[in-house]
Amino acid sequence: MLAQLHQVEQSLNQVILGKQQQIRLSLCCLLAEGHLLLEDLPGLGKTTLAHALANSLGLSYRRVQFTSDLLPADLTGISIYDARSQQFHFQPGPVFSQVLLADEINRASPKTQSALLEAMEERQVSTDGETRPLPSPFFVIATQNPLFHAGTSALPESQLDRFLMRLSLGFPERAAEHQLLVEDSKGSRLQFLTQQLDSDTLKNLQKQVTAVHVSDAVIDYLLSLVDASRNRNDMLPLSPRASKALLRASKAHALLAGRDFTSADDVQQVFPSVAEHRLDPRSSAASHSLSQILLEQTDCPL
Amino acid sequence: MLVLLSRQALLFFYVILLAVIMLLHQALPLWYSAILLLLLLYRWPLQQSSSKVNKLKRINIIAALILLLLLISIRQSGVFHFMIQILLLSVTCRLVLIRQRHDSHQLLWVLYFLLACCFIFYQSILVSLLILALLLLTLYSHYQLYASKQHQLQLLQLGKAILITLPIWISLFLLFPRLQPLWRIPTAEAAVTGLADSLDPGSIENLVQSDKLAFRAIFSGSLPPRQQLYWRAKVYEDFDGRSWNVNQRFDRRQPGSRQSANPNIEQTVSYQIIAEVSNQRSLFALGMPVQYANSVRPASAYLVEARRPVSQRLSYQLVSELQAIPQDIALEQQLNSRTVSANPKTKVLAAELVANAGSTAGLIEQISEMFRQQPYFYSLNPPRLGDNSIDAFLFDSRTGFCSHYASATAVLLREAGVPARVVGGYQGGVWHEEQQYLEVRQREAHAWVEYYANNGWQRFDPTAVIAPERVLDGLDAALSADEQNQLQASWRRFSAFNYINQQLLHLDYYWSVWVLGFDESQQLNLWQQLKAAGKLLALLGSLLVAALLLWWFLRLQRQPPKFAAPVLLIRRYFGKVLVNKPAGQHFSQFIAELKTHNAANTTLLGKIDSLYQRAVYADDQQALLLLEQHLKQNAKTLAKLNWPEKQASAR
Repeated sequence: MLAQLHQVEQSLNQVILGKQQQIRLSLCCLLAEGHLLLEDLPGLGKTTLAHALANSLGLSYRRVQFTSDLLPADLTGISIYDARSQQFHFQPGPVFSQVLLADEINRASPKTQSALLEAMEERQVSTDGETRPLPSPFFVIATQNPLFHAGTSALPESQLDRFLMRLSLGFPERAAEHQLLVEDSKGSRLQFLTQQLDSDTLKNLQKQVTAVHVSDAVIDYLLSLVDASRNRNDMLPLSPRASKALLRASKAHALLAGRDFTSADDVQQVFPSVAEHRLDPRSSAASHSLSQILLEQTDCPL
Repeated sequence: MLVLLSRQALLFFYVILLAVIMLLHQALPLWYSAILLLLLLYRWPLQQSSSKVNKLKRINIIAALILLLLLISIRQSGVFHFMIQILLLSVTCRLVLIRQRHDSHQLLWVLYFLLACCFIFYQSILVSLLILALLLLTLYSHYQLYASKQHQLQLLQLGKAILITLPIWISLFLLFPRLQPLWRIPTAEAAVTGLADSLDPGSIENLVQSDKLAFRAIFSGSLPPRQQLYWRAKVYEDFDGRSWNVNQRFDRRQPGSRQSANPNIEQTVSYQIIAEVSNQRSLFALGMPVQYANSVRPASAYLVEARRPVSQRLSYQLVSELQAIPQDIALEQQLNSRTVSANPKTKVLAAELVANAGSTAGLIEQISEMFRQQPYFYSLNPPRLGDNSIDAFLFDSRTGFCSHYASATAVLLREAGVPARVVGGYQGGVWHEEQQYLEVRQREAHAWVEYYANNGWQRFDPTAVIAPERVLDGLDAALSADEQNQLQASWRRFSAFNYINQQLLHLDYYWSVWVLGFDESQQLNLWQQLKAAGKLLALLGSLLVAALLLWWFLRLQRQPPKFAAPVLLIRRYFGKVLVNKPAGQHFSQFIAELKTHNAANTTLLGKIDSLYQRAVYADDQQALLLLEQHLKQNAKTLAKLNWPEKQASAR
């Protein structure tokens, strides 16, 4: 099962060239059942990665391009009057899929953004006084442009907090870009995606993540990292939700590394992408300055 | 790591060093202090120019030159002062060049040492407090060097720390053995104060102008009457027609045996004297001393002297009999009958007096009568006298201070055939009832006469005849208002200052009795007292230890162990190199780095790392056992692991 996962990882690396670390982290995020936020300049491959991830997990997915005039109902769905049966029929929106690809999420109005909130956290949608559960598993893979770009409205802290990780791909290395240009004529890069998981395997893997062993010492270290953020005034404090997210992501990272126990290294590897957008919502995803400070200054006795 | 010194730290160092130079000025020639100050000022032009190497070169050349000068003058200053000079030179040169925290280590330690050296020159309470303050400032700047920026000095914590260490301070003071060669403070060449070996007409008047303390006396019984408080310090036996001198041969000869024939218990006085620094050997005693403390020894003519010139406060215990001084050696009478050819009128007068008087007692009576009946005056400002000073005093000026009367009387007696000598010392003193001690200042300096009669040297004080108030009520009572003003320093006229000054003196008294006076014998006493209370103390001690153990145990119980077992193991075996691990790094990462520096042990380190990971992260007991085994087996190899030393500072 783990071998399958590694094959998926390899084929993802064929789609996005030279970004092994980000791909591993994004897989971590999905294994830990968390939502993923990709932030980058346009053209760096975030939409490709989002598609590739959704594809490789073998899940049904819908894509929504967020614009400033997108309404909440466009996401959640609306009730339409059926003249024949003389009844209202609920027409489910794109949210009712296993993976929602929310492209350029920060172009939508805050109202629409917050409509996603409930869906992401509660995994359910309430419309017309009726609460409808979302399919399981349910992921949101959102992409966004950096905040300084025209026509963007920042995601509020509350919503950022609901993304387990925020990742940035950044520019490819020269060799990787060279290969990209050489293979350009062959068509979309998504064709390199040869391996897929089926949904049973994914469920199994997610179960295994929860079973990964965490020693008290690692939890202590994790807590001292979180605690350090709470005693400073140059960053926002990390919430208990953040520490839960950190633990889950670390476990997933350990599983991906083929271990059945979590190490301090796992915590340190996932910490920047889990913590940075919670420490400073206005920071850009490419910089990890605050989380680096915490990692360097917090004593790791392990 | 390169950490630059802050301005504040530099300022502190400057202040401390300047203060130390001031305090140690006795050990430094004036030119040397000036050079040190110039060198300190040289820092600013030096910092603006040239490279580090250049600066070092320049300072080294300057230091070598100064060292050469010091070596040339070593004969004048002596080895001890030379050592202090070298230490100061090194500190100053270091301070001129210093830029980084790293450089300040030696500087700080030498400063601590120099501060301790200050106690060689000063033991008074005020200077001790000053030195203590400087010590605290040094400690504070030492602390500041390593404290993080945000960290504030917490006064409460500091107070706690001092409180905890206080018993250690006190027990060190009380119980630390006073090893003689180490404990002794080297005697330095310094100005001699107090009565000199020569007594001119006029020398006591000068001495009396000084307000300085000569000594303090504490009596075990009651205070003897004032007329008996004649503190003998010097005996003058050589007269050259003008001034009296201590007979050098006499001074050096062995004193006779000191067995009192008939110890008269009623007339003995037991007392302790705390003598101030005088840089001479002669000490003070009442009448005939019969029992001596160890720190002093008998000198000729029943005087007392110290074993070394008194360069720090000296406390000694004496028992004296208040009676005529017996003859010390046979030669004494002959020695004190010598006359000189000067003062012809006095010779004639002496002959007349002898003719009228039948006995020695009659002669003394006649002389007293003469001073009392004829117009003789007692004054602090007598006119200057010529070569035949006794003639000039007795027949022309008729105005004099105690030394004039003593010297004239002694000459008259010698001319009349009675052995006589002048004794210098102190008379009276100020009694402090509350603190129970007698304070004797230089202004109590006095001179009187001893003549030989009835198998002993009888005391005769002509001043008591001409100005009895001097003896009964002290000097002030015997002087006119103008003369009293002359004696008082202008600030002493304000009563508030006077009061504070007096309180400080009392404080100083307690300081010298309880702190400076705590010597070997006192320590021995304390030990004996401790021994007597041994059982009680042992009980208290074991109770204390038990309480401490209990407290420690409870603390241990309350706190969960701080580190997991594998972490503790790693800390034990990797102790040395682990210092180099950055705080945020975990051990496996550190091992990876360690492998690059220790190619030979890569496999061992890899094995340890994997075992450690299983032990600490997977809570695998098996792995923990294996890890311990591995570490134990390879303890020697692990102790020799390499870590590039200079990597940090090269950055």
